[in-house]
Amino acid sequence: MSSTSYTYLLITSRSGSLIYHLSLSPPSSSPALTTNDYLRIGSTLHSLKAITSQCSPVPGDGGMRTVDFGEGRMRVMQTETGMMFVLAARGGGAHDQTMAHCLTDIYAAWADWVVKNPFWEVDMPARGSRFGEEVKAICQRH
Amino acid sequence: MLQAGTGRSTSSHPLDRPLSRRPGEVSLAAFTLLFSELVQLHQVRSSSVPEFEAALCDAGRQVGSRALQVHWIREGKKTRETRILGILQFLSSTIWPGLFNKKADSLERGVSSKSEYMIHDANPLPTVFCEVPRSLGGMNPNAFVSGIIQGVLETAGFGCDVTAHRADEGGSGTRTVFLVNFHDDVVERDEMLEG
Repeated sequence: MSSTSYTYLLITSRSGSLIYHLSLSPPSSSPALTTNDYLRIGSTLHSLKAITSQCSPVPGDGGMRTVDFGEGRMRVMQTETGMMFVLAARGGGAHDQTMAHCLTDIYAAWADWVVKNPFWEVDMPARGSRFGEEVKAICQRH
Repeated sequence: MLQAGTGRSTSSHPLDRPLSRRPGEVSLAAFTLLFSELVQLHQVRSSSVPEFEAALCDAGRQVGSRALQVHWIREGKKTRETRILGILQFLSSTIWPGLFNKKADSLERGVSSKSEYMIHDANPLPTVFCEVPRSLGGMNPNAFVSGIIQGVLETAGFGCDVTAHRADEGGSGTRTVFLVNFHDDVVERDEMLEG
């Protein structure tokens, strides 16, 4: 049983457009985000990732990876192909390393259930439900 | 084969070596990415769902034809199978594991018709990652597997038509039934051999 309370998962393409979003918490506990909200958050985080990689104190760094909200955390993972995975969680149990591992597993699930689906086009929004089920199962394990 | 003067045997020609009993394994990821490209190619070329499924079925038939020959020789069989049940059992318990690493879930005979048989598979391997969008309606990429079955049976001398049907209610799950409808002359021949 997971000790972390995940809130949402968001995936953007190379260009910053939203290709996937999933709410991971029951609707009663946190305010529901609409698709427009996810779109705005996605494109903002995409720009922030690019800006922070330029102003980072470490030269050649990838940019923003973790955002600490005190009682919550957001972990960002950018892939070699330029996609960005954003996982948000709340509560004291949201550890950075746990979320990083969770994101790696989610990326592996993406490589299976979305990339290998012949009916998904690269950089287009992913609509399959199977990937969503896998993400929920992965979050349960972490 | 000994070569004079060297005292050592030369290695046999590749064509003289026996066909390996252990088939090579292919990574599922590699296959499904290739299959994904095949599906996309036919999606672009076809102008209707039946045409799309027929194209995948044709691709499968070529696989089935070769699969039958390879597995038949590997089993060391020297004579042809002449009975419907015999060839279907070979398909579900030898060819299916050879291709998909598992036996077909079950094989049944149609209740209403003498020419109908059903092969069940809870999650056919080639289409395990396929999720058909609603815009394509009832399109079933398992037409490829239907083609494999048809290729096997036709090459063995049992003319038939094979179609794939979703067995789950709502049509969203992966349980599939492959309906094999043998041609009349095949059914007649099988009845004669029984008698």
